[in-house]
Amino acid sequence: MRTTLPLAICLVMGLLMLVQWFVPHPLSMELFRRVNDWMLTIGVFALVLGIGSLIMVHTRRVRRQTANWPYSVVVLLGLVVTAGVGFVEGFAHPLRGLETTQALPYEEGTYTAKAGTITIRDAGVKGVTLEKGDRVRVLYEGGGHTDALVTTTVSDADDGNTDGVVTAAIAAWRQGVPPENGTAFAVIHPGADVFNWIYEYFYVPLDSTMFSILAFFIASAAFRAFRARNLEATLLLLSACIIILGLTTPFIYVWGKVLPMIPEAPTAAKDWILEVPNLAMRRAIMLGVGLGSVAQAFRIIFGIERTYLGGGG
Amino acid sequence: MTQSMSATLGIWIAAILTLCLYSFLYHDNPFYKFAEHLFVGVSAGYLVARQYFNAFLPYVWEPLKRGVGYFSERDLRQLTQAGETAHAQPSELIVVVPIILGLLFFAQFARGHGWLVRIPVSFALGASMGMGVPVVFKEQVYKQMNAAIIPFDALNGSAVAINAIIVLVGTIAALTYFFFSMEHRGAVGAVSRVGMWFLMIGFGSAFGNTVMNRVMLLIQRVEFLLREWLHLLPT
Amino acid sequence: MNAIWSFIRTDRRFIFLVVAVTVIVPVLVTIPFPVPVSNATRAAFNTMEGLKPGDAVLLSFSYGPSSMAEVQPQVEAVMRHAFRKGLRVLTVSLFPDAAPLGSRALARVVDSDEFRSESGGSRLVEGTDYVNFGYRLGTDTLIRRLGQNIPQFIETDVRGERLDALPVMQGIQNFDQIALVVDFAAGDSPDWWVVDGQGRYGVKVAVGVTGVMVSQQFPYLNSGQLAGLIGGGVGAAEYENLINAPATATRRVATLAFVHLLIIAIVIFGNVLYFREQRAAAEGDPA
Repeated sequence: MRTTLPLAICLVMGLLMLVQWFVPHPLSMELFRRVNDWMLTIGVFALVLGIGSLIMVHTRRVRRQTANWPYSVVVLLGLVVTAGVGFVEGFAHPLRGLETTQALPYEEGTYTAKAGTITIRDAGVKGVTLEKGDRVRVLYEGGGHTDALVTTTVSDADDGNTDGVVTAAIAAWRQGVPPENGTAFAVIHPGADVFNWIYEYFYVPLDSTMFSILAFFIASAAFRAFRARNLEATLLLLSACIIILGLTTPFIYVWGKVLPMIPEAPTAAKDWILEVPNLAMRRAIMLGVGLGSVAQAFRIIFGIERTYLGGGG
Repeated sequence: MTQSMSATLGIWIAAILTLCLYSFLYHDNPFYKFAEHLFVGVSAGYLVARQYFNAFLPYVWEPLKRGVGYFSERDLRQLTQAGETAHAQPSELIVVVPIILGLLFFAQFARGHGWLVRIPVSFALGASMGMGVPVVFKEQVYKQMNAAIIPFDALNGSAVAINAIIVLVGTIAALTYFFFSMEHRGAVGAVSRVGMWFLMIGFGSAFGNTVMNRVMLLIQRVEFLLREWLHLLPT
Repeated sequence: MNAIWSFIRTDRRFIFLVVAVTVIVPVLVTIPFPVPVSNATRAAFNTMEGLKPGDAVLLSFSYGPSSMAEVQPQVEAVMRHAFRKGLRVLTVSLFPDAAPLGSRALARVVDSDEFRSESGGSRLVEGTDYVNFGYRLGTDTLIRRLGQNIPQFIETDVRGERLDALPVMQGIQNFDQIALVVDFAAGDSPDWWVVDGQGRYGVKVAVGVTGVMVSQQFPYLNSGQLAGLIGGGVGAAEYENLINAPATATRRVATLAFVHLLIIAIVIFGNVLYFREQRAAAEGDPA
């Protein structure tokens, strides 16, 4: 049961989806849609496992105070703070979730402002929704502005058509006085700005810097390890050099001046390397991988390959 | 905090974290370890929040809501705009099946019931293997074999045909190199050797492009430090 | 002298320092050179150029901050080209950390001077000229579902507005109405798009990839399964050159050149040392 049931499920699903490809009937398409939707739903829970495992590993290190345990505190703090900010800001804006603040200027439309409402008219607000918590900003001709907070979610389509006219209920204007009717306004949809600030100033620099360190190690490896010891190593080195020189614009420029009869030679050589010998070996690898994947798929479907079942099977 | 103050603070934080990571080039040190672990935590936290709003809600929560007929104000508005009425759609409750399958992943924490994890894994693996076989064969085997042979349609000694011959020879030779069911001796050994040459040329081209990739990343970070942080470059 | 060579050989931090200087100096003093265009990038450009105003192009973001140095300029160049041609631009992110980068590229291009209206705002309107689906979980499964029915599967854009109410989505049901997909990738997504997007639905696909992945795409390019390939940062500079809008990539390629020359010099130097040692060892051991 513990082995038979999973193998049976794998066999049935594998054969079903394999046959589905050849059957254009609407029921077959519906099966395809359903199975893919289910795989997406199942995938959500698999993600939870991954994060849960990370939390467990680092929590255990902190509890047992193993070597370098303070760094595990850093991991957990980073996770909790980032996720926490994301949840708070995402829940605050159910319509737009984790997107940043959007400020949309409408300088060709018109607005009619009153004490408790504002009516805005512009082609750009066709079909647009103003959410509770959004701001409508009225721009004065000589500079400056006044704002009002939208108190009830309203959409252009609420009146049965998307004509670009929206009347929103608003809280008090600044200084309590509604502005004169005019032609320049902006709609500001506040967003998950702190969450995106963390992404911009923590995630991006850390991720991009981590990989940029490899540039130094590539240069070091080029010096220490790249030796033309034999024919094969020489071919590798020569090929790499032709590609590198073919991507070096000053070299191509100087080449064109020194040898004007064949100005495109470095680019042509680079392209030839990529489009002929490289193509040959990549095609061979792709054929091998493709055939291997198909063979492995059948082994998994028919239960010959069972390593995915884990131990104790 | 105004927008420019938060941006300035952010730039300083980003610059300090960048330098912490680069300090590894001198020697492994606590600053590098701190930045490295912070990256792990922040990226995991970012993933958690994103996946909740962009995966859990649309693929788990929304179908359940539609199934039982629970509609938020926003849902009602959107349905009205679409000319639809708000009513329970019991057919959506079929989502309970993949939810149960997904929850079985957590069976590994229940003693004696760990084997239940195999069920969602088998489902997903079997389905993706079955879906993949025909399209992988078509796109990565058949079309590639076709492309290797098609240029010989116009064999007239032109450069195109010569390159096509080289590609075909190289493909067969490289495939021979990876064919381990036969000992690489004699004619097979010679072809396999030629295959190795093509592989080396290909790996060399990959290295050449990889250098470009890594160095561009470094250039971007240096530009950030010199432009946004130290203001030594015009924006 | 031998002590110096010995130091260089054993302490790689000297090489790190040389690389750092070789990057910092050209960044401070940029000297742009013409960027010749490769066949692969030209193919991508020609494919886009062959589309008609009103055609829909789907841009798929499958990269993250660790590849943005090369891929982000590609995205902006292709987007600019698409908007110039009056194409309807649809964007989707296959990975969570790609979503803000894609949105940033959209904002930069849409708000640029080239598309400014007389009143000062952009003449490109979200919902009418372009739409952003945001990040969606699913990778290859997502591609399979999009190919069946986009509005039914995605339902709302990143602002929460229903897709079927947006002018830009008029008549778009699935990949049959998408003239071209351009995938900007740092991982396996070109394979997913070719195998599932093109293999199942026949949609035309082009890719912009990082340098690491360039050489792997040539089988697809050669067989016609890819309609174009923008390779790495230099590919981005080539595309900028083709659309006459030199920008970030063109600037960076000038600095890249010096590091390339340094790497070549390091390889030659290392091999000269190696052969000298080999010869010295052979002469010192006559037997």
